[in-house]
Amino acid sequence: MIWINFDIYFTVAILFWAVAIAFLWIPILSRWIYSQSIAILFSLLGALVVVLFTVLLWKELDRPPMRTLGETRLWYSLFLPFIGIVTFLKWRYKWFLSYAIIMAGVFLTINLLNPETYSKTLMPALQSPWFVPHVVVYIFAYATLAASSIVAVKGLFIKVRSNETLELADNLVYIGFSFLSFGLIFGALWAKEAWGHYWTWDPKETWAFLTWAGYLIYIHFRISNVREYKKPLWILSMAFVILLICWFGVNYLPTTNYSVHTYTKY
Amino acid sequence: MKNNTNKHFWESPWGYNESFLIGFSLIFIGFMLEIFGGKNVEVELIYPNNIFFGIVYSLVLLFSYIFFKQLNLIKWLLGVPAAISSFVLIIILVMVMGIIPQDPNYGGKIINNLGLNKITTHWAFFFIIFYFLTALGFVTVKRIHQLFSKTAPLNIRNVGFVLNHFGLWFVVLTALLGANDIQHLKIKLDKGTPYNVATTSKGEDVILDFFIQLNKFTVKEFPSKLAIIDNVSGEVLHNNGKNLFEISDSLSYTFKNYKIEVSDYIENSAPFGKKYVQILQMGALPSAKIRITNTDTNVVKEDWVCSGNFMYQYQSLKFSDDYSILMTMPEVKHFQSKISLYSKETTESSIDIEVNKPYDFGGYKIYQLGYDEKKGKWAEYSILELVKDPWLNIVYFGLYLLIAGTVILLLTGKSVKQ
Ligand code: HEM
Repeated sequence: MIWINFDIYFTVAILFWAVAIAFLWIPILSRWIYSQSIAILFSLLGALVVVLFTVLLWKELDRPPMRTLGETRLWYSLFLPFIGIVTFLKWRYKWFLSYAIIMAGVFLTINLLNPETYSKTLMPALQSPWFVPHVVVYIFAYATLAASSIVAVKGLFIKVRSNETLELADNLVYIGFSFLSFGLIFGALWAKEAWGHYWTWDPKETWAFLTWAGYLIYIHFRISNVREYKKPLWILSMAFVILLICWFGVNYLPTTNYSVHTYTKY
Repeated sequence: MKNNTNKHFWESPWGYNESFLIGFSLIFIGFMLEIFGGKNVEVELIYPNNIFFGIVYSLVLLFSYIFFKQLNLIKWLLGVPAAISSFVLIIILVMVMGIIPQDPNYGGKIINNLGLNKITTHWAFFFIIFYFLTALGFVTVKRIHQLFSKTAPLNIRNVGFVLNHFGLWFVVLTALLGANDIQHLKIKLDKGTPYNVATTSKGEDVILDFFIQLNKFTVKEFPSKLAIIDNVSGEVLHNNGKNLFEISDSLSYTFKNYKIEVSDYIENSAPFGKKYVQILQMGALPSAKIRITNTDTNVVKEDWVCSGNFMYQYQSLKFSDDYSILMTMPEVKHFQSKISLYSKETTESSIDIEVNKPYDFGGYKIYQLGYDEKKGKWAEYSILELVKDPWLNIVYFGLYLLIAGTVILLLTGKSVKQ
């Protein structure tokens, strides 16, 4: 049996990203006129390594690698650099691109330190054409919203009001929220096929709904309270806390045993 | 905040303070009703009253907007503060639902008296949803009215607005109204006998106007895995993430200074004396002969392991003072019922039902629900679920509007402020 050697891919990706960070921040390098292009190139190369690993893992496991927490972290590290790069191409925020790839690196590191079993098994409920779109859409939403939360935190720490901060946050939230809505709706349509009901207030569904509602507050607050600065950023941070509970906190709540998302007993 | 110091409470326009005061009052009244109101008075809105209620409610929203839009109450419901306060209050109640298991047997006196373990049927939840829906309904009516009276331009953004707000309103309203018309029935099928009696979640029998017969039930399993465990802690050991190996004839790997090989593997077997032999009867289970070589000392240990099941004991192999190797229970890959359906009009046979692949018959969607899990692949009965949801397509209509609205939201992003 061949095992994919994650450590190699990990090292190469991290090296590429380190080069990107260096070209963004180390003065001698970053003053060079091509430094930003090089940073983009190396961020992209690192991301492609993660893509390659994901594809190979998918083939090796013979199922979509989206079943375990570690596998979702892998997808996070796949999407974050792309979100960072696209945002950088548009707004040229060095800190944002750096954050995106550092976060991706952190997730890869967590995976390296907590090796999971690469198990081929996939329970019957997950064997559905809905599985991949549902998970990909969700993780993309989470990655975008994670990015928006870092914008919020930065905005809260830096005293001066900057309209750019809110603008960037808005853009990320609109994209992230749209994907969250797709994820929720796809999840409902899938649940109907798998379990006979599109909505059962299962703990995971409940927290997914809460996350969605949290960002709905942000969107509406921004519409009518255009002048507010700190408050929307606080709302954004709180919404992200709910998102984190939804992503892995649910496993630690008393309700977890009642979740059909573990799919064991009837 | 909108409520600046110049404005007195209840002076128009009502802002966040008024909105939250009203919202929390609704919750308070809800809890009072829950605690002091008669228990078990569950009003079940079923066909055709729910349709009637839905139409009346929609018309009330429409006409009260048209005729009374100058009232403070309606101006307030049209505003963002009302919307946001309703989101916040829903979040609070749903969060309770997300933390406290929604099970009538869960929790002590306090949780039970406050009704915190039955939020979906709680008065407070009902009031807040009503508040939310009414606010959402008015905003939608307003924008549609503006589009018709040409006070708002018919552009993509406004179309998106209507699709999102109307879509959500429609989904929530119809899902709630239709909830009690949904029928979930279970039916347990023993092989070879036609059945026509299913049971509701409350345990009542329902006679179907067709018969279901289970012809064949198959369970496919993934191969078992080998796991090395620590003899002291009993924990499965991580060998750089490569700790569990799907078993096969040719499997061989190393763990520390041990070489682990499978020298024999029988998918369907039973213990016979000290070894395992192939059988194909009830209870047969996978077993494997494992050969473990200590590469430092060249000491070899070889013996059988098996995961055990409802008939046979599991067997592990202790290969050193510290470690043992064992075979995990096989995980289920597929389970499928082959059934025949007989109604007065038609007979349909050899229909396959499995998870994620329900089948439509006689107004029901038929789902694979469960089986005799104790017996695993030797299970002899299958449990199916029959679901009738007459409102499904109506709710889905709203969901499709919502999908379209979300596409527009994604494409247009946030509007540039005037
Ligand atoms: C799918 C969920 C929702 C989405 C995507 C959404 C999105 C939006 C957007 C983008 C706007 C600004 C657009 C514009 O003014 O043209 C808006 C405004 C607004 N929304 Fe929502 N919304 C949603 C749900 C709700 C709900 C549930 C309510 C009320 C309970 C609500 C109440 C409002 C109000 C009051 C406004 C301001 C409208 C105005 O000033 O005319 N929204 N919404």
